[in-house]
Amino acid sequence: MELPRLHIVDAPPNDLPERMVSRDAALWIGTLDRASEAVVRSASVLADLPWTMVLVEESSKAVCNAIAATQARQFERIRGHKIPVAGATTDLSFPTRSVPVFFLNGREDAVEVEQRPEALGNRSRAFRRASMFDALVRGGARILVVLPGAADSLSELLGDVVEEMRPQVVALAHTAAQEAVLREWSERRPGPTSVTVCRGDLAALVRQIAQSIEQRLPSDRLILRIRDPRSGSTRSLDCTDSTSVDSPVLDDFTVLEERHLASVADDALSPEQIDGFFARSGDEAADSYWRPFAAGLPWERDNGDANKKLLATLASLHVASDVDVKTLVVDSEPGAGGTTAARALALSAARQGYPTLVARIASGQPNADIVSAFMHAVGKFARDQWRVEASTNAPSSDATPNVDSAAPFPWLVVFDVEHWQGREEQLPRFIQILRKYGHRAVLLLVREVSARTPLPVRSVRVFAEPLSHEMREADVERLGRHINRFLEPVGRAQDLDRWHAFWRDNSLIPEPGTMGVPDRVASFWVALEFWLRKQLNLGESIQRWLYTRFVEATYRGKLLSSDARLAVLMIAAMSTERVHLPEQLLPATGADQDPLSAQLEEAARLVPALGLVKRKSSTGHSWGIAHVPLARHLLEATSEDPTALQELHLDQATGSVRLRLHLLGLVAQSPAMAQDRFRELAIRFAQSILKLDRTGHQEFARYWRDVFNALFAVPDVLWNVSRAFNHHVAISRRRVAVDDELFPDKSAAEKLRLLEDAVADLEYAVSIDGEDDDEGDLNLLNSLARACQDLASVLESMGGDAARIAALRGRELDCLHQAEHLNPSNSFVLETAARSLLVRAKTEPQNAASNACAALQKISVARRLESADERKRRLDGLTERAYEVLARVSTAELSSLRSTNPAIAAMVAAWLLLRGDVARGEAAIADSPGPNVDAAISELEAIPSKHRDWPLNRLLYDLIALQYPADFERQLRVVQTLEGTPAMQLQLRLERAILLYQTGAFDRGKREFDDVRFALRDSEAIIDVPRRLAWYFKPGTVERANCDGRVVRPPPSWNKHAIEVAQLGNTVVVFDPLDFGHQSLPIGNQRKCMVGFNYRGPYAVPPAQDRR
Amino acid sequence: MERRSTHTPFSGTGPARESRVARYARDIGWSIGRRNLLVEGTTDVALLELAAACHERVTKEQLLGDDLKVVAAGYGEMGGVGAVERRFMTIHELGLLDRELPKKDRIRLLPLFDDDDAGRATFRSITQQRHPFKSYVDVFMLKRRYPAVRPGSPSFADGLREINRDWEGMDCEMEDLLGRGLINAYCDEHAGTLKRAPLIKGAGHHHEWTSDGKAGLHRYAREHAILDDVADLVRLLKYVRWIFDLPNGHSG
Repeated sequence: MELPRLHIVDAPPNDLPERMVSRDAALWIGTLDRASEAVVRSASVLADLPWTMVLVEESSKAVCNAIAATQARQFERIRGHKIPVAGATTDLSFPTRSVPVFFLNGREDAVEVEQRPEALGNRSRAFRRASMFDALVRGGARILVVLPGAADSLSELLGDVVEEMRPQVVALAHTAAQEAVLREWSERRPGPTSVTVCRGDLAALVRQIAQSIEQRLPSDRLILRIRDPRSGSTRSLDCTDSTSVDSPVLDDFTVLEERHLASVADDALSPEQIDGFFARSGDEAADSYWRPFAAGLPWERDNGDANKKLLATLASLHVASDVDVKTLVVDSEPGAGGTTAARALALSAARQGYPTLVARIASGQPNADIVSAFMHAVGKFARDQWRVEASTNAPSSDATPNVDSAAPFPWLVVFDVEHWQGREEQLPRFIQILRKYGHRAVLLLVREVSARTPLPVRSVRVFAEPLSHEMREADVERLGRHINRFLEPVGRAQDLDRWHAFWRDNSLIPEPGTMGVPDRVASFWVALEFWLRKQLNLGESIQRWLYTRFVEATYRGKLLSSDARLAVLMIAAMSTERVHLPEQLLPATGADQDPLSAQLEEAARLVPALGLVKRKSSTGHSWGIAHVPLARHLLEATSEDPTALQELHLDQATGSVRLRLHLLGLVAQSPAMAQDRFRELAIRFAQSILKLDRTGHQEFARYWRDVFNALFAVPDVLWNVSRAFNHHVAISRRRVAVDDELFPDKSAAEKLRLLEDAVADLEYAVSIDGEDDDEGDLNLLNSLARACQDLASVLESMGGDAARIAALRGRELDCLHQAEHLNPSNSFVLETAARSLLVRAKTEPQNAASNACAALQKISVARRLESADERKRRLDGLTERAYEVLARVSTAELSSLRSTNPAIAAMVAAWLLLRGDVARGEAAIADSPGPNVDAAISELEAIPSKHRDWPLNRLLYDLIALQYPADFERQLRVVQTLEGTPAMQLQLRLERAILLYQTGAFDRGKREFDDVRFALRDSEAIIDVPRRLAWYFKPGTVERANCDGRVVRPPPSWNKHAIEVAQLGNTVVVFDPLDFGHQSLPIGNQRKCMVGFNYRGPYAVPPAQDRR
Repeated sequence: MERRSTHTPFSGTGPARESRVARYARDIGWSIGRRNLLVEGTTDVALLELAAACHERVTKEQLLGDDLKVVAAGYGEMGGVGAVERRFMTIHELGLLDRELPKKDRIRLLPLFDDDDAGRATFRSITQQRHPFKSYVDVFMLKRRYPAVRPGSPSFADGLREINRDWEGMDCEMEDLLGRGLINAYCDEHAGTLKRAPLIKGAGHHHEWTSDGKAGLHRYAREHAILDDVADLVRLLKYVRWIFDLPNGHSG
């Protein structure tokens, strides 16, 4: 039965304050009675509340000023600042945390003519109004509160917005005529979702709303617990004044404040807080979200070892000078508690005084600049406080007033799976920015165990074993007792027998022999939520239970519409990708239906089984399913229901994988995807969600044509303007063309087309100007070189046009040269260059040996740079191919080479020696047995210096560094011969700088470091100090030198402490007094120290025995 | 530049619903069925087939056939640990593609490594966290006994350790599952076939054979073995059948 849509009440609707706090309601103020002070006052109080936006018909100076003014600062923590706008809004964007106040008819007191009521004419006035209403519709508010003047036509207002927006309308202070209009509108379709008419006194209504919101206000202070680096004790610091209320970091991160950290007793949690904890449905910034954590509700699975590891890592950053940003990882199966564990660790670290930022769910791509700015503001504020205290308390001789008196303290930044999954390659850049601004931080990342793309940075696992849905029977009782502590006080404890029974029902014993491909979705921890809420019975399959709830879900008394069910499935498909679906990308509904957002809200409320959650994100509201296993169960069950598939027009999507693919395609082709605000999401479709390669979704490989067709349906604007989008689609095309194991079912014509199109896409991408954060030239050129290389090979194998093949080979070399110029030490470029050399080894038999040696050299460097297995495997395959070429060099050819080209002959002999006994296909120089390396060195050194070319010397340098890591003189001699050759890249220059220091040429070493730092500013190269060069050694030994340092005034350009080191020829190097256990050290103070090197230069730390 | 249209939809009816794992196995020369035990080499296959034949003669029960095959994977010939990893990763990736097939069409492969230096190194390497393979779910090590607990259940590891406690540190190869009576008879008749004195603990034993000695043992077993001599091999096959939920299986 259809439920009534008109409600007449005396008080404001119960859910209004909550919806306002979650920034889901907009306010329209009509033409007020200017003479009535009470009405104007009420309007101004009302306009001060946390609306998502305010629209005002009134244009008089007095009323406009009253409405634009801030009455109560406490609301700023939720809504940010009010931003009055009296002109057209089309080119404006607003901070997420702000309230645009749109004067629909301009302002009488405006100076600019286009902002005045008369504007520039009818057209301008109409345009201004239309742009403001457009902003209202696009803003995504679900509730529109109207405060009409007596003469206002609500019909006109509703006509302007209702059809598109279909909001819940709440009317305050209205006439009988207006009520009649509202009554009539409530039944119209398309019309408002519901109409609530509040008949109470306006002032009283406004007061009630304001009071309800005040009760929900978080504290307006930002009080952090920070560990004092001097004493090691923790203290609370009110940092409110260090940051702005509209700081974007507060939108994307929850800052763990003092108020979150207080202990909470077991019996102090409400049933709602317990449910919210399991359902992950609460507002992450709210105190109530963190109360279950503060009470200790998360079950600690490893006796606190992970916590100890995290705290030790944070503590190490207090004293370390060489590493400033470390990455820790929580590995977890989907839905097995990775998020919860990471947040429990976050709370623990914050309690220990490490300021902690927790990235919010659905907050989008992490932005290092805003994180850095926030850290900088808080850090500076805290250090200023301490400096004042230090100068007040400490004796004057121990102070160095010109020097920043404390190093940055370590932060913890916690990310969930969704923040980096599919964006892993951007993590080094994030870290680089934090480093660039001198922050010390631990990044704690939750990662899915099945994540195929490796992290491109060094990381350490905090849990010894990944968090999983498996549990030992012995642990069940421990878990039951633990959770019962919190359930007992709310009358929901389960006896231990039932805990065991639940465990037996929901423990998924993996089927053997599946080669790591589980058959079923594990969901012990997710099922636990519903069992504890007494919604799921013992013995019931969670998938069947969930699907039944889904099929029976209703909206306004009727079964959920097909559109809404399809939307839930689209949300589920996106949730399996760890992406929340923005509301604007949901399909449009028919005129007879309420907006999907309204239907989904009700489904979320009435059918908790679905785990539907709505989040505020930078692009508006977005929808997700709280636990990935729920999304998977839903898709699996739907794919097995032919009736549902037919009803939803999904019958062509046979099987759960194809269904998921089809649903993702529906999202990708949404016209709204063309909007700028969804650019990043659109690119993610090409970059990760629909990526076809071995690090992407292998299960989509069978349907590669469907995947491309889905990508082709993405709005044209992406294809036309985005380099990254074209690039990633081209990568997929190339992979499908060349990988015959994963993609065996393709015709020769399709293979050719895939490569031709990849080249065309990449040529186009290179030709357009990318936006600031778009794909750079380096990657595009490298991919284009690869695509040309593969296309030429395929054409060759098909007997294609020789001129075309030659042109492609020429283009390949051209792109490679450009890429190598941009960054010669990029491992992908090195790999492509090695492939190119191997192709040439085949096509130019006379140069086969030299090309294979050069290829091996490049592979060897690339392999050293790589930690990812998949990449290593590919490089090993190349190594194998190179050795096959060398193996074909006969003894006779080799002896002939010795006279015609002794350098090449020596390199062939050296590489064959290096291969030695190393297992097939895994040759890396470092794995070669020592005697073989020695023999290879002898082969190379047997060539007189004047006959050695640079590839030989480069190989010789690598071998000497490996075999004689402390023979710096010898290494330097070889490296100097590389000056002016293509080998002398930034990495080698860095090593030369350190070798100069190690061999006593301190001034030259310093100059070389200066040059390297300067060159790095314009380079994409990533360089690193090899382990053998990390410390300054006593000359002629492998013992770290204990040096004599004297604190000196830092050079003018330094914002750091400086120490002059006698053993380094009185070179001045940086140091951190905290490493020496002091807040600051006076000029002239003498210290024993050791000297280490990082890519910026030398630095001093206390001798090993003195280090804390 | 003017862009060339590159997004004309692909037509095509989609791929055949054939198992990609099966196709790959065929390409690399493995003759597989729906459920398969992958052992080191052909001699291991021969021993298990011998055991199955002895068992069938006496009991009329089939342990190997269309429902379960023993396949010589040739780990040793693949080219080192890295090559085994690469091959298994490829199979894993193709297994992901097969998830779309009806369950009855999905291939099951259970790699079994000898409990010797090479086998242990490979087992350790491919069950590292960076790989998707779980020990005693996706890959097995040859043991003299297995606990009567479902592999993959949390108590399996403890059970396995406990039941093999007597033979801790003692290698186990397929020949070590032949009965001691048969082996003793062979040694008595063929001197000089052992590299060193056998290790014997309780009911378990381990012999290091010369290569001729091992070949001779296989011949000898083919000619002389009766069901008692292959009881442990039969136990292994029944155990594999049990974990694959096949008839005539037994939990050990």
